[in-house]
Amino acid sequence: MSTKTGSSGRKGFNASVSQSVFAIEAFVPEFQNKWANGFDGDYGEFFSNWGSLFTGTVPAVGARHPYFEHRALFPEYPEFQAASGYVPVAQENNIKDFFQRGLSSSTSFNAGVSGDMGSFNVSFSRTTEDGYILNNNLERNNFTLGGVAKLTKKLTLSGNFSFVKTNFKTPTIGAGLGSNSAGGPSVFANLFYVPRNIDLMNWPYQNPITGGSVYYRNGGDVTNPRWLLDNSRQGSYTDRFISVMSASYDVLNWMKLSYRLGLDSYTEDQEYYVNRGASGFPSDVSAFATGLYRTVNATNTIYDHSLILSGGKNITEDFDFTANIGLNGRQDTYQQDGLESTNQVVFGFLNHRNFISNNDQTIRGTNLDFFERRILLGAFADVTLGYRNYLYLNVQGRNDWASSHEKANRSLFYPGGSIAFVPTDAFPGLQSNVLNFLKLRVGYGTSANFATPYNTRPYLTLNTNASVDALGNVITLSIPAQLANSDLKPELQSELEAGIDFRMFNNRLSVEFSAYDRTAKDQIVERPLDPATGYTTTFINAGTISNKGIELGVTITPIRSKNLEWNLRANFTRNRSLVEELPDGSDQILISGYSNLGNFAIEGQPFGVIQGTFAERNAQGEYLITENGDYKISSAVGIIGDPNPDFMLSGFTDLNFKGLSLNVQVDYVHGGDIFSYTAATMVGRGVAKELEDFNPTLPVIIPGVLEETGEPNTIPMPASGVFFGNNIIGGGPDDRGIYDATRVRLREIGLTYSLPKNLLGKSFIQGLSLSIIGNNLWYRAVNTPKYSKVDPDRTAFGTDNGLGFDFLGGPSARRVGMSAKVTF
Amino acid sequence: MKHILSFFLLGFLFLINSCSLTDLEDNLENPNNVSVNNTDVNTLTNQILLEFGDFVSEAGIPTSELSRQMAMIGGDAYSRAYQAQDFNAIWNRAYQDVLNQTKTLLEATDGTGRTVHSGVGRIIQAYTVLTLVDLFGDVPYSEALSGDEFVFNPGVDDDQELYNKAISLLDEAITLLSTAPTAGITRDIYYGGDRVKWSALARTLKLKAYLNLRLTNSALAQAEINKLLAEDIIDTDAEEFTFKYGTADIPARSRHPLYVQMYQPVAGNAGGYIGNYFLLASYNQKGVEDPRWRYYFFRQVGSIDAALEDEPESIPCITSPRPSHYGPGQAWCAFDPGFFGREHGNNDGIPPDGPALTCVGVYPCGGASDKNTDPAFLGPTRTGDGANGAGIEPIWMASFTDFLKAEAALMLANDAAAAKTALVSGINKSISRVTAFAAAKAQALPAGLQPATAPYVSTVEALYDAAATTDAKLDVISKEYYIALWGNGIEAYNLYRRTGKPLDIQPMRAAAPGNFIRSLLYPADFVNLNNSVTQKSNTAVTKVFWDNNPDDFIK
Repeated sequence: MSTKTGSSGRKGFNASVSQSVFAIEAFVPEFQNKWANGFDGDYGEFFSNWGSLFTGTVPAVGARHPYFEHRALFPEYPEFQAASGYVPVAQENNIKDFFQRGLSSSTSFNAGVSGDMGSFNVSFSRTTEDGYILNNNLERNNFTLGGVAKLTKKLTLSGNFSFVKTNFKTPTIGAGLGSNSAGGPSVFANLFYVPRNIDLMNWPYQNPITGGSVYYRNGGDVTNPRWLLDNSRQGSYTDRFISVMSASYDVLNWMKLSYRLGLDSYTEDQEYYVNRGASGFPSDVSAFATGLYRTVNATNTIYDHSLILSGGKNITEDFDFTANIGLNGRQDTYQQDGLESTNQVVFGFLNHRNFISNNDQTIRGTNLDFFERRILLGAFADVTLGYRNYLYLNVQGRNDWASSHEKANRSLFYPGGSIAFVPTDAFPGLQSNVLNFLKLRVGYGTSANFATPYNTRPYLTLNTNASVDALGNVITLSIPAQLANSDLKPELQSELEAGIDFRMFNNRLSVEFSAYDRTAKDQIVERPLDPATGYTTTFINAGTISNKGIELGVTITPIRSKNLEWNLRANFTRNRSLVEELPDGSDQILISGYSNLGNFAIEGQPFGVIQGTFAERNAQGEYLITENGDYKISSAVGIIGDPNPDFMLSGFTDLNFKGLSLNVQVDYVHGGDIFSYTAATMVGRGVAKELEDFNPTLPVIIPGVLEETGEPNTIPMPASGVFFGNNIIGGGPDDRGIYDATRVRLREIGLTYSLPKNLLGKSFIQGLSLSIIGNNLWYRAVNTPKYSKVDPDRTAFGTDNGLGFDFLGGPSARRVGMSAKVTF
Repeated sequence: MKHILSFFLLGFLFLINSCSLTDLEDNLENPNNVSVNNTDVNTLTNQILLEFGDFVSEAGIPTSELSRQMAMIGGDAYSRAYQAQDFNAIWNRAYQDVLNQTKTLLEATDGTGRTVHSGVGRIIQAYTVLTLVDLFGDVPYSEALSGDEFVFNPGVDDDQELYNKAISLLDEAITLLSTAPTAGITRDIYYGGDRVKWSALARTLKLKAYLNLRLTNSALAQAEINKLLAEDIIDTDAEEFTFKYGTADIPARSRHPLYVQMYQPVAGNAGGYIGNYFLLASYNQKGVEDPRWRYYFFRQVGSIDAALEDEPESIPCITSPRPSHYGPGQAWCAFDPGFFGREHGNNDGIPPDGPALTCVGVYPCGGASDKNTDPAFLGPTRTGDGANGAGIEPIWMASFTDFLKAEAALMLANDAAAAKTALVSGINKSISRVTAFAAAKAQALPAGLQPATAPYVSTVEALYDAAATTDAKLDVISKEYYIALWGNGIEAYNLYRRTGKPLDIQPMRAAAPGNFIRSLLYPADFVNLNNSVTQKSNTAVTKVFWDNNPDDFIK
């Protein structure tokens, strides 16, 4: 949220207005339309779609309309009424039509003046967006005011205020595991496997009497996704105020003292609700079905002060220096209060008084009221010495003190330094039409990371409503599950980087190359513990993790003429991470996810490898098959994937012809693994278009050898047993959910026309441009099922920092639109 | 110039004032929680006694499934029936929620004259350790609960030594409880702070532990059991050891977990399955109706036809062929009047059967008693029905003691007559307790609907007398114990591994499911977060120390 201070190159008045409009379109998966809801080849109202083929005839079992049990509620639907004769028919667009075309619109206005005494700038922008599903909206208004005033010749004051009001709401979205959602209701969790014969968009979704969800399952154990569109919401309403004020005083003509005070404060009202009448929750959170309403009010305030003495001077003709020394203080405060209510009385009425139970904890026991403060103090110095504009030496150091560590570990010094050398400037003879520019650089930098507050001192957990047993309310006091770590140290990250930059052939070839070695020492991680230690989690310093890599940027300009310029650019990055050392005699630490399926730090492995169960194989690599024809699942977990990509490559081209320019960006990511519920669920539930060649009424044999005999497997299973029963959603080994995440993406195409200056003449309009832009126009994760349209860049839903996990978070989207900008 | 300098000075003072070095020190304590100075042994005891009930409940899930009280539906072969993460909750309850708290309690109460706190704490520890051993075998103990000393990878202790340790904890508890405390427990959901009852429990737990040792050390088992039988043990309903649930919506754990699962806010949404074998065994498998079945179960449908009429796809197995390895008397799929559970090892998808499946009844889950006699009945359960979830965890009932006595008399003392007396006493106690429980929850059956006790008892007596061998008599005793254990999977799993009974128990649905699980996989949170252990490679051969029965002994 950086805003331009009111300084402008051009003296006098300047202003601009711009407007853009984008259409948003979801990449909706495609599905098979050959067979219906059911299991083992028989028609039935299952979660899965492994039923009878669409033959246009009445199936052997279950020849009632899926909404037969709701017939009394909907007398206007004659087809629901018949107790027999239902013919399942593929509803080809039942999921596609769930989505709508979203629309995003942005307007901005900016005006300023500048003069000898200073400058002044105001701007306003507004963005509204309707997402690709109903009731998903964003509205943002941004007001900014800034100015610089030279009070005296030596004293300059500047200030910048910005106020941003953001309202965002959407039907509830959460992690899906291919069989309802993991936690609260999620509009996408059950959407992508709606059985093929369910006419989602034309059958009712709401009980006209109770208001509750109505759907095809007799027991009502899945909430109708359309009902959630209307009856569930999560919203965030944020008012954010950012102010930066600074004063600087020229102590000497080469030295100034400046003081800067920053305030970044926001209040956020969060709202979450599900009306009474949803279903399909684990029994510990079945209260969702009674209606749940949660409101949270949060305030976050950051004060940031800096006092800096800075200067720059030529010492001799050859030597010059610039230097900064300063002090910095920063305080982060977060406070929230909340209330969660369950058991809605009047359907649809959202007020805590309309709910029978009110609590300051969520139904999972998370406290809604809490306060956090962290203070960081720092002192720093930074000196750069230059020699004849071709050799530069920089030395810097900073010491920080953090309130979130005990006194002995509170302070951390982190130094840095770099040298840059430009031979083409040092030896002018080197410079030619072939070699225009050459720069060599090497640098060493460090940075610190401090713990979040309150992880070093023990405390007790008081729960005034732990349960209500036969004697009544139970008040409990306990040793918390989190172990305090008084030894927790700050984390030090260091980076050694060397690089070479050069330009050749009249600057038609430009190359930037860097190699780096980053090391995180004492990385702070929340480490899950074996409960046998008495605790389940603690913050620790997790040994040493390194990242080594290269970055290469190449730009070629094949054509450069007065009217036409064509640039081609490629960026290549390759990173290798390695867990070099772990503490406490541990050889592995869970970083995120679950102990049976999650990202681990394992000595000698890349950081964050995925461990889970796998299908066991024999020495020849053939799958071992059990007595019942299934994969043999390993009893212990092993490494089943590495979410880190092998390399990334981006290609850009821009073509400028007179006022017309065309920009294209294509991204390619090679390798990396993803554990994808999106892909696995569509296969497991029998709706993936890739399955069309199968016949669910015929048996399938899993390739492999029988564990008992070593003979090839000949045990037939129903298609549902193979694709569901041996899939991650049906209890199969976890490695069945791993896909290679290699992907290619047409990131952007933009066509812009800028009116030539001479055409505008002497009118007050300074510039006018029109653009047609497409973002995320096409992508393909080449080794995932094509029609599932898995986007590995939409991951980590529902887990913190989880790498390479996709929990059915909803589809990726394409944006196409245009924008216009006028400057005055 | 001067005012400019003071302007800077002012700014600098602001900087110093707002973030001073003392602030660094003042923001270490967590302001959102209670300070460690506020340790109060009574609220800490509340935590232990509450979470102990939850531990028993969690440990009851896989054990009740393995013993076919509830249906095991996670896999069609034993090797795929469970995954390590299924047992995380048991482990977490045991160590973090119960044992670590108990350790803190004992540190605070030992030597202070709070003998009841100290005695009860030890009994809780002992039961937890015995159960962990019964489920997993070797588990951490001597190196456990030392996270605060940065022992993050505690190794396991030998399971036999852990049994000895638990027994000595019980002895210590009995000694402590013999002394009047300076201050007792203020809130005790189990015994109202009655130290005599807690002592009876401690002796009864020793009895239960020694009976498990009868296979590996029969002399010791017999000697210790004889001693204990002469002392005050749990033999009356007033002494029974139960966790007692409430009826609140929030927190969700207030009600019995099976009630929450089977009596949902939305009617027809019931989930989970009772094992078909248990349904049949507790209904009329012996040719006489069990007087308890209408309290044990609540059928949502009056007949299979009524269920199919309502939803033709609700019971898909009705059209599947009966597995050839299921004998003619074996329970299968669904049977009238309106019983519908699931087979052992049926891992098929879940049909639309929420309104059709047989739910738990009033005993011990706090549901409804089954008052229905109409074959056309349709009555899907809802939250609030019956006793509204005010069930119990029947951790130790008076009848259980009788069944232990019967097994000990038959197998250790070779006294078939004494065994029969104890058996009959156990059945009578179980039936009268279940009946009284239902009445206390306003779930008594209308006159004439409860099958009479006498014909049931005499049928069992006849079976016992007709049983030609000791093994056959043990089968009769074990089956009655098994039925009386409804709601307690831990003892049912112990019984099945110790005796191999009931003999006619339902096999897995698949014909070749591999050998039975003799100890549970180590929890994922244990093996994957603790570097000192590796996962068991085969739970069909890794047995608990007291189980010396052969690998293929049970199915």
